[in-house]
Amino acid sequence: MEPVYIEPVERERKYQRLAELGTRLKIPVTQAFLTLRVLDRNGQVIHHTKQRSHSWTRNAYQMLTTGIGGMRNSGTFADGSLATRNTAGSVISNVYLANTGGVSSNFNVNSEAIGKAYRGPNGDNVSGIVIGTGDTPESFNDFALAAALAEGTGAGQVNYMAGEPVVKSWDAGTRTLSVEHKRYINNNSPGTITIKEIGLIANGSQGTSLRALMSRDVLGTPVDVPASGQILAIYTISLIYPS
Amino acid sequence: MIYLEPAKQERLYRELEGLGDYLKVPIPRCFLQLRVTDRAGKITHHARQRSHSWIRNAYNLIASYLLGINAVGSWGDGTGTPIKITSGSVVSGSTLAALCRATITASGYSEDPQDVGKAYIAASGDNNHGIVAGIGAGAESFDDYAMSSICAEGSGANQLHYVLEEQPVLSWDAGTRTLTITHKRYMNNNSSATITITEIGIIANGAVAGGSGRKFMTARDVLSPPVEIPPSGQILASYVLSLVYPS
Repeated sequence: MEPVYIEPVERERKYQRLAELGTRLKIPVTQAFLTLRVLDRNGQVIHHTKQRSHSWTRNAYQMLTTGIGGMRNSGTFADGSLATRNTAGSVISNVYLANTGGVSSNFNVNSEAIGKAYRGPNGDNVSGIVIGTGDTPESFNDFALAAALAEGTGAGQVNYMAGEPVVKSWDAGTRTLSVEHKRYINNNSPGTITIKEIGLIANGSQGTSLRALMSRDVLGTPVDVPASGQILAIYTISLIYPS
Repeated sequence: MIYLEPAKQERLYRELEGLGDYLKVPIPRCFLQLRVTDRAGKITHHARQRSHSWIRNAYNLIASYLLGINAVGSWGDGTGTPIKITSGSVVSGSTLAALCRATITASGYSEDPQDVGKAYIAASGDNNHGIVAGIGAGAESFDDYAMSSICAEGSGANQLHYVLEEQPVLSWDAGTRTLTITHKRYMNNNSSATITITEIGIIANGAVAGGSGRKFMTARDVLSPPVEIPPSGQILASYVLSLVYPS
């Protein structure tokens, strides 16, 4: 079953115009989509939607700026400066480039391995795709979820599966490279959990280990995950290549 | 300084940037500025234009960073995002690509992207790194990985002396919420004749596939019209990269 696409039509037109101009002018334009599918305990799909992810955070901008601009991630976490802020709230500022790949010697890190970049390990709620019950409005300066769900089986807790292997695809028609980041999250608690926010946290490095929230989406309509149910969250991030 | 971008094209850039700002999608801007002075220090050319030519390496670098994937696969359309270095070799490995080796090793070794020899900060006399100039007329291509005909370091015919790249300058415009990084390099014509520059590029010294010291080009601009540097003259080439931040 295909997900219901819930992006408002007028806004979607703007995204499509943006993509068209990026291709024409040879300017790299990223796209991000969030797909959510919820199953009940019988495996029946009770929710399946897809929307644009609207909320790259300052961390993502800092990483892009330093990543292609060749600048240190130094200064403060504020306008005009290039530091990043980890999920604990600490501002990380030093001479190194920030990256999503993780810390290792000799820069020899597999970004697609579990525990690196966007693939959270099993039971880990501070990297990869995470969910929460907070509905604080999205802010460009978000660095953590408002109320991330803890790992566990108690009330208001979920079991985070390891992030799935990334899936890459190429659409020759739109000249778009897409990467799907997927994570299954199970509600093994005794009650329904109402999800209001989803985030994407990179497990990267900036001279030291860096957990950086790259995107946070507050759901327009909260999504219920019933007891013994499961939510599959997919961030599809794309880059449109020029011809 | 003369702004060379055609008005119609400029309108499209501004529409793109306006949409990016509205939708909170990061849209990197890049401008190329050239200033030529003669032996007396008089400005003989001073122009600014859009840099039109992010090449595949730049896209693959962004894919590594924001899409969270390794720089693996084959060069070309598809799911591969490797890096092609200036020698023409494709470097592909299970790591992301970066402008600089960004981590600390067990021995405490570290790399600063603003150190000489790293990222875009080319050393004096190095024409395989940083901002470089050439006399080739090969048309711009998304798959460019080297200059068409780069000016060698020296003082002979069609040779330039490449000065140490300037430290990048970071600035913030609160009104437009724009963060700007300016990379600059002076190049001197110490030969006895005028050199006609037809292309400018920028080459990173980065890391991919577990190794650093990878020289890869990220943009190449063919100049129209070409720019002449008289003997004993100097060209200052600046790549001005900016990103509009949402409020």
